[in-house]
Amino acid sequence: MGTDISDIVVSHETSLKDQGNQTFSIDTYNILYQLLSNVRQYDGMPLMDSHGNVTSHLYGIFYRTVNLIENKIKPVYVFDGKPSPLKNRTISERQLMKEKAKVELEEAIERGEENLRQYYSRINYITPQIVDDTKKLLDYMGVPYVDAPSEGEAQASYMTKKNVDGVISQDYDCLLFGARKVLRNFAIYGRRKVPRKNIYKTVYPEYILLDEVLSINQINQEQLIGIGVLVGTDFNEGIKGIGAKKALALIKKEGDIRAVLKRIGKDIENLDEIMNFFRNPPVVDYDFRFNRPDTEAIEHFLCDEHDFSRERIRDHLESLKKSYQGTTQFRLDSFD
Amino acid sequence: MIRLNLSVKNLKEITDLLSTIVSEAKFRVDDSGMNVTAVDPAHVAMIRLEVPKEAFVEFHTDGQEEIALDIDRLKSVIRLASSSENVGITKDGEKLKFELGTINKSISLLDPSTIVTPKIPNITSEYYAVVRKSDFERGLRAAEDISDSIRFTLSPEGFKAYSHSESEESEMILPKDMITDMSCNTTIKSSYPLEYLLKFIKAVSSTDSLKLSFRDDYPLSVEFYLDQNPDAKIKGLFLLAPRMEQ
Repeated sequence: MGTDISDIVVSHETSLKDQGNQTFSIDTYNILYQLLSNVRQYDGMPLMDSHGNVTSHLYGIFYRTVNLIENKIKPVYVFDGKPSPLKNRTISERQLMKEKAKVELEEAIERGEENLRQYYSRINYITPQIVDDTKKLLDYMGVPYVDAPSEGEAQASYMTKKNVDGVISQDYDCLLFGARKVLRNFAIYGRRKVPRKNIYKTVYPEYILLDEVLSINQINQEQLIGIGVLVGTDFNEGIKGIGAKKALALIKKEGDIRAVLKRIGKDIENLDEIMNFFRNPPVVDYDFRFNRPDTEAIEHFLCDEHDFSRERIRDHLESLKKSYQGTTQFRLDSFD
Repeated sequence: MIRLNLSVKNLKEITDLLSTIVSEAKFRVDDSGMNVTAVDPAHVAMIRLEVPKEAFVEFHTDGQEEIALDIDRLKSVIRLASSSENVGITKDGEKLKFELGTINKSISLLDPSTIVTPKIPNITSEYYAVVRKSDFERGLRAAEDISDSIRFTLSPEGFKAYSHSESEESEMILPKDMITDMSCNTTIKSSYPLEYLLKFIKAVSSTDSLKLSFRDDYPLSVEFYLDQNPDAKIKGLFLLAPRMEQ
């Protein structure tokens, strides 16, 4: 989802350890969709407790958050608010895709197919229950979260200009929203199945620096937004036949997106509103604090209420407690 | 076009220092000489080296250029040389050619744009002590098997390096008469990761003295010179982020 400007982005392979001693905002819905899509039983059904509640997200959020904290990364989760009306088209398209996937799932069940993973993984809904459960778990873990007034990635990106070091998200849109640093493949990394194909690839955590993207391409932030909009974003379809490299060449030659559109004789609906949304999205200032985890509450919530393995949870809770002991190694860039 | 010739000793020490924190580095060559700034992936330590053109036996560049290298590849070339030799270096397209006596060898250059040039943080402190490298190294070695961190204290009375575990401790005390030069009118303390300091002190082999500067819970700055050529000293800066109790 989001804009695909990967061809003009410089990314650097990294590790969670090397990104330690920093605070990152997390585009939570982006991560939740990844977890709901990837954390599945063998037959493709999401993980569930004995009451039939989906628990894939709790499994993912718990283990990933522990993993981040063990590596001295402080996560601040950012939840989506009310979507912008500009996103209506994308939301309708996603809904249609899910409806189509549901029909295909029913047909596959009728045919007697055993592995339904590829069908289930395309039907993901973030329900109010999923959001509430995630927030409850984060409260018990002492990890702060914020409700964005609108787009979570816009809020998470804005926070990089205030009190966090970067955004954990798969979407390049964060760069258009001005995120100073974007960390990709931080929630799910390692060997990953390519969607709808029976092949696997290994993905590694990587980071992207906005300043580097701008300087290497010799463009400014306004031009980067223009490139994203030409390619297509969650708020517009983009111009057919224009990828990131072509958009970059056109923007550099013509100066800005309006001149490019005039030159190629095309139009983008709601262009002013879209450009302005990337420049000045609705955001809030948020002062957060981290608390010590309430390990008893976590164990009760995950094991008693949602049937997680007590032994495995306790192992990770021990590790989580240890992460809050000893000394903290600071980074040089904390002293700029 | 770049054509350089310098002592193997100098090149080895530069390479040893960089390899303590990075596996790849980007050197900048301009009319004044060569410099390199590198930060470790976790941004805990940084090294800056400035090699004036006078430190080279031969120095020629057509302007400002960048040379990005895999440090292990560079080390493998240096291993072929005798420490008393000079090494000729020529940048030829995407390769860097080395002439070492009877051996010619070239290694591939990396794309400079893939190596982020770190920004040197604005770290300043009016408090400092110039100590003998050998004294400082002994203090670090004493702490090596005690803990993974060491606490430095600077006061008008002198410099201390203290390390402890649950059952053991080590302390090095350098009274002010054992300090070459110092400026401190109060007591300041800060802790640092020992591993980085031990690697650094091992690599900075030709230095006699180190200027240590820090504040309370603040990065350590170590200024030094590589002393093989007294007339054209290679200037070095090592920065290290502090550790703090949770």
